[in-house]
Amino acid sequence: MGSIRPAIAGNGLAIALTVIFVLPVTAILAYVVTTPLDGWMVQFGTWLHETNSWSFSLFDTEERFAKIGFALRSIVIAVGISFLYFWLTNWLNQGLARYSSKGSWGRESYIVEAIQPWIFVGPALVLLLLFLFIPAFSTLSLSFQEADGTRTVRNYAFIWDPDSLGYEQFRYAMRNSVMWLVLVPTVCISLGLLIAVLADSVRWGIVAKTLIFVPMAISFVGAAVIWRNIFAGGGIQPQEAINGLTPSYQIGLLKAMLGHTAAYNEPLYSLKFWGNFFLMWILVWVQTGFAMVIFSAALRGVPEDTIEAAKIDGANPFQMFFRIKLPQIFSTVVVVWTTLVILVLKMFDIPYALSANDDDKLLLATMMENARNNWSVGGDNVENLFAAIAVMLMVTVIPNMVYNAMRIRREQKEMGH
Amino acid sequence: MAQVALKGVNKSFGNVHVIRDVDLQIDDGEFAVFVGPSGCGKSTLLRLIAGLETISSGEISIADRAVMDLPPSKRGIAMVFQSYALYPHMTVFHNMAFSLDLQGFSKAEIHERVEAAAKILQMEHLLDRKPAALSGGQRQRVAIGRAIVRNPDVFLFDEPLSNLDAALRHDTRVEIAKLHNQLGATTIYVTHDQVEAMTLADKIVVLKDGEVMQVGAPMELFNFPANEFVAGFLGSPKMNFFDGVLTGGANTDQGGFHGEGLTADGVRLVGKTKAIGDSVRLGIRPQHLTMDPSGQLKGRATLVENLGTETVIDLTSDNGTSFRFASPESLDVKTGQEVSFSFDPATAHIF
Repeated sequence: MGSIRPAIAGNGLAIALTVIFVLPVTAILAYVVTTPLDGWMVQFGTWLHETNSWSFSLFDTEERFAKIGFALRSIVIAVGISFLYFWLTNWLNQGLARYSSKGSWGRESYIVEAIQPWIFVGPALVLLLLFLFIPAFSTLSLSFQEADGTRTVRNYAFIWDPDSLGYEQFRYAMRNSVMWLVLVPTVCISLGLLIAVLADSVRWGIVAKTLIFVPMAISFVGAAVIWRNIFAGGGIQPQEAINGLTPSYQIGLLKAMLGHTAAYNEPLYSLKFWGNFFLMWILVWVQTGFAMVIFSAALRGVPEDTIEAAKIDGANPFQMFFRIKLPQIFSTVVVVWTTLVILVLKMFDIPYALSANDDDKLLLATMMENARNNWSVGGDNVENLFAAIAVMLMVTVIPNMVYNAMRIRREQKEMGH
Repeated sequence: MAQVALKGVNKSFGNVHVIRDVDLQIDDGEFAVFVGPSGCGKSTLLRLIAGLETISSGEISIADRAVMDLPPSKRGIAMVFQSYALYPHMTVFHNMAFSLDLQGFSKAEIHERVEAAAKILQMEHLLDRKPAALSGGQRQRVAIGRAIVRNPDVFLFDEPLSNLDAALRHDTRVEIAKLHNQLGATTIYVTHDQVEAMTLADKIVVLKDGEVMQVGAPMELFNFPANEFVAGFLGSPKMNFFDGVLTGGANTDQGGFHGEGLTADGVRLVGKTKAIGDSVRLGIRPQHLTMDPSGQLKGRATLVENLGTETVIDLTSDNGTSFRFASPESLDVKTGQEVSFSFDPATAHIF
């Protein structure tokens, strides 16, 4: 099959070049051809504006409807281009393979199968390269540069130098990240498992599971706002209205129920140190449903006969769960745990929405954003300092990745691969 | 002493009545086989004895203890599942040790018992492996080993051989028989395979639609089937049946038959409520036919199967009834050929 390599490479190159040329040209053409649609949208908007006599200016309406028109066109064109990509590459692959195989059916299907995976993986690889790997490496490189481009490790000084910018905050962020990393996945997984097991044994379990799953659909900021109203200060004393938009007093359901008065007006999530746990609870609230649904499905996959065998062997419900069911769904637990760990490392919205200015609530992601907003005044190469913080964020993912890689390898070895 | 006794056992799933008034006694050390077509309730009956299902009414006792209210683990039983049901995350050793561990045996005793069982089953070298690394036959052994270590009053086997290939099935069947002789424990074995039933059982229980059709020793059931179902179910190839009327011997156990061109007297008559002229069926095993040019049963061969050890011929009689003939000899009969048979009335049955 040595002589088949050039054919594969040639066909692959031909397909890639065609795609690089044809797809952008088609996209531009499609946009040009459909431009009048925006005008029609604007006309439609104007008509709506006049029949309903909207109060804001006609110019605003026109601009908005032009945007809507453009957005609609973009959606259709983008989907169309993706479709065109697969149709075109597949057609080219088959056609070129037939042409270059000179009538040998074996060669033809060999060439087609050699190129086909790349057609599917290719776009993902290109996107990963452009938007993940290249930025990651340029961040890494930036983090080791002075503002003028000379190499330095000074950006990382916050790790060891007490006098450097961010020394204090980095310590808080690391402490908090570790607490989040330990507590949130543990609590989510424990609650998720508990609910998955218990809900299966009652008739209204499906209702309970639905209710617990619903928060999954709420964005983190949304969840943060919901819980702000519960954790807010308990006083009924009017607070200073800001811009006339913030309500003049907070509801503070939890504190109100606990009977706290205006004297204890600090929101629970702002408490020194303990506030962190109220923030974590919000993420637990959102994510428990996810863990529960996955575990529920996994538990259903545990073979019924192993459960019956354990019954005959005399396992009580506890032993049944911890020694028969849990070990059999352990790989699912690890997957959920990994997902949650990555989620926690990315966690930004919840602490940022509720306590962006408290140093002792910082996580690495919020620390980076805080630095970008507040530290830019004095530092000469703050940009590069952000890069260094971002690199620290990447580094924290590594242990998780290593563990998972090791586990997968061990599992494969056990299966005898 | 009845080791396992069932009295008026019924089981319904919703409106479906799957076990109907089963009365049964299995003696100490006996090897009982529940046999019947799929859906006859044999596995359900086993699961009722095991306690994996609760009975709707009736009584079950094991070793003279009523066990209806006891959980499976307290009933003194051990079960081998069709799919083996090994714990995939545990090694063979821990699979076998699990029940002992739960019962609080000491480490030393667990080792002793597991190793003893492993020795009986010749699988000491497998103890450190996980089920995924075992072949089907080895998994079967582990499943049996897991039952042995519990030292139960009664062993329950739920179609244990149906996931094995033909050769292995035979070997394992022989081994189970040996094991039973060695341990002497009461055993209940569920199968749909009549060969397993015939070869293993001290006592066969034939079930149909949740009812016990007949209970008895294998050859007793084979030679004196209590009804047409048992007659047709046991024996391979199946018994031939011919429609006709009773011509004599009402209220006795010897009857006369006439129908489909066949006439016979002094045939074993099953059921004493039949009167002369009632429509009955004559049953003759394929092995009990004899090729005889002057015989009264004539048929045209439609299929000739030479199995080497046996020749089986499918035939169709003049009135369109299909029947079979089986002979240990290798026969020179061609498809389409007309063959005549005679039979000894003493080997036939009237149902």
